[in-house]
Amino acid sequence: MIFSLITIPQISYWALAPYIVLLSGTLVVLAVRSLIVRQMPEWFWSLIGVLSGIGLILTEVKNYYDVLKHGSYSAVAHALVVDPFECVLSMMISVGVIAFSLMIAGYSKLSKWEGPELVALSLLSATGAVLLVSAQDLVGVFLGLEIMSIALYVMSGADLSRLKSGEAAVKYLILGGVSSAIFIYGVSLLYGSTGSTNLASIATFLGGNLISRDGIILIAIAMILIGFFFKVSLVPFHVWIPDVYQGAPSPAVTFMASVAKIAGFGALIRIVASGLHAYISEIRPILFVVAILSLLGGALGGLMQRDIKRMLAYSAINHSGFILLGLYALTKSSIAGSVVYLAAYTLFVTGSFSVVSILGAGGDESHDISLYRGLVTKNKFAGYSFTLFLLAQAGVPLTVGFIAKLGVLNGLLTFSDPFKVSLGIIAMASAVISGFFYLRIIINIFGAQDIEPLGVDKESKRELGNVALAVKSKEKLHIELMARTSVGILAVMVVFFGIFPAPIVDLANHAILGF
Amino acid sequence: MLPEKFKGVYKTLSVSGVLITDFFAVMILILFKSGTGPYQMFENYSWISAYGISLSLAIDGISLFLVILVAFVFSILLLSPETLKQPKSYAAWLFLLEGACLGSFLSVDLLEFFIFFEFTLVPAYFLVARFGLKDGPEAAMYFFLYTLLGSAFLLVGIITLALIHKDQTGVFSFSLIQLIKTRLNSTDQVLLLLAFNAAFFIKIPVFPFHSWSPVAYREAPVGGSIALASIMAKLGTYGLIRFDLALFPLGVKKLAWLFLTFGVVSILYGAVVACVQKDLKRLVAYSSISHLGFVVLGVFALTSESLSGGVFEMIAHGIITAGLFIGISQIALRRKTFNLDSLRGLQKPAPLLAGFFIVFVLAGLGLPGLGGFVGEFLVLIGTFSVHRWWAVVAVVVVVISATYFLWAYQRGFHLSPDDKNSKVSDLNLVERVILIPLVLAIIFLGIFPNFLLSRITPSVNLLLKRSYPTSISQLSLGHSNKLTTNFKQSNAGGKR
Repeated sequence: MIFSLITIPQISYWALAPYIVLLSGTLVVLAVRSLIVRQMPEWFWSLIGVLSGIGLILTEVKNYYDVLKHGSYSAVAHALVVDPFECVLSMMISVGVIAFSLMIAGYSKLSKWEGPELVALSLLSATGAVLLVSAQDLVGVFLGLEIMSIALYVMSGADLSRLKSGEAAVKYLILGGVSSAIFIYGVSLLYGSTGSTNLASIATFLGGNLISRDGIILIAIAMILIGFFFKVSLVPFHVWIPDVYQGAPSPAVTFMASVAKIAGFGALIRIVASGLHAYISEIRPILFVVAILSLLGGALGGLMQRDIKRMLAYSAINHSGFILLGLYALTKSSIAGSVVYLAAYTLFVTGSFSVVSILGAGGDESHDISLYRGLVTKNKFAGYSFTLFLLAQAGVPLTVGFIAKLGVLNGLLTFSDPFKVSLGIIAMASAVISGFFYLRIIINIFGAQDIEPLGVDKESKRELGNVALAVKSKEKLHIELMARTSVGILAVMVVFFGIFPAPIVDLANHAILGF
Repeated sequence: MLPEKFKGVYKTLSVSGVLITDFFAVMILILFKSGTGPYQMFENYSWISAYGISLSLAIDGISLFLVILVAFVFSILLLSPETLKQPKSYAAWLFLLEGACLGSFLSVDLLEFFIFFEFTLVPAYFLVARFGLKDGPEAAMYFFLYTLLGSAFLLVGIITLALIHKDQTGVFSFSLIQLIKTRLNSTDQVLLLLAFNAAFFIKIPVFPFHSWSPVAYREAPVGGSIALASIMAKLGTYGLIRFDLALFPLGVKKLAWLFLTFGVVSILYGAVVACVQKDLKRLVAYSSISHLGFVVLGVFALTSESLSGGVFEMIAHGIITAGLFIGISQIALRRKTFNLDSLRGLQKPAPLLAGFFIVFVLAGLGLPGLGGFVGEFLVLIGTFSVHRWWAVVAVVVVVISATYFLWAYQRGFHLSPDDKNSKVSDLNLVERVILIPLVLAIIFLGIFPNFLLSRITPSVNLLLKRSYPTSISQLSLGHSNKLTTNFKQSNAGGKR
């Protein structure tokens, strides 16, 4: 009786299922922590994280098959959209979540951390990331961005024993806050000039009206793009990345490098492809310059580094440049190429940072390249899998990294543009340059020789005082079962999808159906 | 063909792996129908259908003996006692490298070729970096990145070509058989040809792009040097013949003068620099550049003789270089040096070593009756008929190559040995057993070149007929048989 008085709005629970799963994971962690007095073992928190990640995959797979069969739909007053793109990117996000959860148990045990805060934060951050890739409304995008980022700020400052971790958090907070502010200012300008925050309405407005004086729209677009360039670490908005990656606890970096980048690129691609495509000819020159700067800046910047986490940070910038190439061309196959690259990137970057996390457990202060010397003799598994991930980053055939580069190049070259070939060659040349520091790490892993990195003289070699980096100890290195599982699965996937890339490519081709 | 994992019984595994590979190689040789041009034993599976990549394997006269060469040289490498002394990963990398090389030579799909072509870098890198000499890691990195840079151009070129083909036909494919039908204007052909050649010239290496090779050959372990010089260099020359000539006839004709010049300069430069080398390994490295320049010359002269000669030279050079490097490693094993200055009069304490070494040296300088002569001779004849002056310059080098090879031999083996050199022990049984097949192969190539040429020439002629119907090649087709008979006679004369 009473139900007939209140009209209950139509709620599509499947559209909300990913958030429900992740949030309930967060809440379970917090509830157990606060209600149960007894100290829970570390693996328990990891288990909740992994289960939430698996839950995310399952709901997204379900949604994926639904939307492939019945078509995409939007929910919550058109603020969210459930389409293959969102499903595929959320699956990648869950890879980051699971890898992080598996890694954190061993890490916090060795670092003598108590409590599950990082697991709870990561699940919260992942909620924001999923919202970010599925929001069809710029307000939703902003919400997702903030939920994701604020949790990340805390995660990067989680290591209270190290000053650098706090420094990283503050840097990230300030720059991230500024970029969010720039973004939301752009959104408000766009709202003012088009009358909507919904991407579909914006696209209709921009496509349907001939705007004679569009200065404000151009400024708005530029601000929105800049906001995202910060998040996905593109040159010249990249300066925070190496510092934050170096300072933050390594598992947090694993999470940041994968989840934040997937979500950032997801939202960027969606905004440009489905909201602002009427202005693509104005956007393209910006993307062109930023792509070239990121490709070369990432590759060249990495050459000067001694710290492995900083090197990987620069290589992540280089990868971002590659992903941006797909957006630059903005054809169906080029976006599919970007999605393939994102998928591959998720696998090999999560893998690389997972190994770094294993080695950083119990003392994350320095990841100087000399500490990695002879890794393979201390632990074969870590040495070989790290080598594999690095080779994949360099784009060696029969690893997923080659498929990624092939996908992006293929997409880029389909596009009719006079610069496409030179852009492709610049991209591949930058991959060669970054190959230089991947190989340098590999040489050290196999402990053949001590080769000084370029640009660093021997005197300036820092005192590696209070480093408890696992590699430094002379004895063999033991790796936790969970961490081993995670790295092992990622390594197998890197090779498997390198030889049989059909699943990834199919997913990517389905993902772009919505655009 | 490729056992990838080695556990406790890896020696048995590796021996059986070698035997299985050799068995297939011999089967291919027996089943190969000589005297026909087109591809044989075609196998096709869809691999990465979304990108139109297929796993197509086939063989023709051009690739047949390269496959045999790979199987032959790698068997010797893998069974040699030095390999068995190394940790098991050494053999594993060698096997991976062999697999990747075989894959490249058998591919009919461009991207499949590229995947194998580029993948060879990984095992080669680890061979040089982990098992090489003191500066191995740096040399390996230099080599890896330099070649990777070339590959970047090749990959962009391949995808561009496939997309042009897709625009014209609607089929997205990397298959060579499909792509040959692409209609390209001559500007596109020139650009694509340059992109392809960036990769191939670096891999060969041809003169201005050669700087990685002496360093890499020098620092590599013996197996690595042989793999790099005898086998992987051929990936580049093979790519020139298989892809450049077939896909870009207009571009090749337009730029032939340039590539011929590259070839001749390599021949000259390699030979001259080899003359001043004191390090034996570097000497062989530079002589390799010189010999591979002959192959480039033969390829871009575009005549039936020169092209067949080029293919023949690839095989002969592979075997001779393998022999030279093994000989050098045996000297180094005894004297711990590659430097000619500290070697003297080795002939006296080690006559067998000297005997084997002189065979490889003589074959290397192109003595008639041994393998090295036939290829160079055919290349020069073929080139002379169309590009006279290039051939004339190249002929001069034959003299220079005699100089540096004989000079090196003289300095190392002649005179009376000093203290250290007189205590050198001669080859033991195993070392002899390893060198004998190489010597036999060199003599076989020298005396029965027709065994190879009768299988190589039809494919070469088919290639020339299809892509260069109007060029001089048709004229030379008729001569081809006569030439080989002439050649047989002259060869017999040489033996007397």
